Amino acid sequence: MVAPKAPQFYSPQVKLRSLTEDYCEFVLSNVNASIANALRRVILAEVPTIAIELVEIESNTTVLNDEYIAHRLGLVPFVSSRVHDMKTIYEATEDDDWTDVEFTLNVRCTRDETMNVTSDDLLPADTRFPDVMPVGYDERGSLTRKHKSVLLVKLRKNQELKLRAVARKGIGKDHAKWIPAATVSYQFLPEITINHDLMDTLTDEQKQAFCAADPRKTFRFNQISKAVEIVDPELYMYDGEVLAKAAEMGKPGLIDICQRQDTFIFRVEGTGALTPDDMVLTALDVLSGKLQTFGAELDREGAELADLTHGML
Amino acid sequence: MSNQPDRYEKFVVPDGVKKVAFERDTKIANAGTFTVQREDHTIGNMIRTHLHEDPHVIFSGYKIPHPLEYRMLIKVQTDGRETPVAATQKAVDKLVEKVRSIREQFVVGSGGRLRRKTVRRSSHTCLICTRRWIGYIALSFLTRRELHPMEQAEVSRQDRTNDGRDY
Repeated sequence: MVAPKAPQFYSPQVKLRSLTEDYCEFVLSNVNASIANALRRVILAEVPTIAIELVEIESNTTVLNDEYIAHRLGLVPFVSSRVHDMKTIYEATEDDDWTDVEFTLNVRCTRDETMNVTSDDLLPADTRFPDVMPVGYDERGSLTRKHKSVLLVKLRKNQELKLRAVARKGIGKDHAKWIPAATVSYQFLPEITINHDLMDTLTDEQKQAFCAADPRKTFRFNQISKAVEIVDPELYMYDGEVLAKAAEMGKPGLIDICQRQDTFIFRVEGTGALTPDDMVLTALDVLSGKLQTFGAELDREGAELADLTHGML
Repeated sequence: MSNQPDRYEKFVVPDGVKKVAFERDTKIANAGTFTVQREDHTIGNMIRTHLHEDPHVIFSGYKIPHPLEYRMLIKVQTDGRETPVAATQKAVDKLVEKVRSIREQFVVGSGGRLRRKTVRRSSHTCLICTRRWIGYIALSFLTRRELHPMEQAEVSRQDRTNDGRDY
């Protein structure tokens, strides 16, 4: 019989550390690594955003070929706060389902110097959805704009680019251009224990040398108590430098470092398409939806099996 | 022009194909395999690890037989006091509850701190959720359930070689 663990082990805990327009950090604890990994995977591959999916080129005399330009257009991040009202072309069933947002681009260089075609040149062809736009578009012309526009191609005199683009809802599983996050990562919380009995056998100089061995300065030598202290276990980057130092001093086992398997520090960086909290919440909705679909299908399959066995009896 | 498969095949279940199909094992009692269409490690690994927490489950594992076939297999064997379907259903219910709890805590934690550009679905409004959340705590406190299955689990009989991550 295994000793019972503390009951709180089974209820997940979330602690939000920071949340800004494009960055979010939170600690997810008391959960299995599989849940943390599922959350990471869903944020990356299954949170919908808006991106250009179809490009119809009318005229292209630039140095880049049509496919190249279409690809670059696809990768432009779009403000996707309205994506939840849209439907993908696979989900759409009604005629009035909102699936497409159209844009046009019509640029010609008439001057001698090189001209930049950027995501700001994409003009909405459809005035019904003013809040679907390339990231940073709403502040164009502003001198204090936060976001720079995305460069698509450069034009020489008399070169021209004229096209029509259709933006659609999609997920990262379909194409990487729909991934809402720049990066999503989770870190295992390091658990560091110092063997103080062994540490006391070191001289103060050795202790200082030990503390200096860690490039991230996870350890600190306390001048008053003459003891080695941990500054912050999270600073440790699993580089093994201190472990190597301990071995070099002939004192392996001076410290013990392991990863807590139930605490994860999540870091989510956005591209501007969705706010990070929107990303995480949508990911949790998607995850829960997937599980519920699975559960419902399981119910149906279970009932069918029961009917089958009943019929055989 | 090309025989490239359509991209939507990764996540759209074809017509006439069951999302989840269970097939009983022909040789082992109380065992079987679920074939789940258009799912991957995200769900597979979660369900597998949560089946391990069930004391009636003797074995559970998942695999993706081929990277270009978008299906996932979950193998479950139970001790007979619970059917594989019921055990899996229990694991899924537990997971749904956990995800819901994480979501609510995240809503409470982030509520109001970041002003959204546009208001999303009403379920996100923090006031309602806070109230629901507190209600939930009170409810779970009053109706404390018996020991969690994992607390009684016989670890030795289960497959615990993997640390819960997939690669």
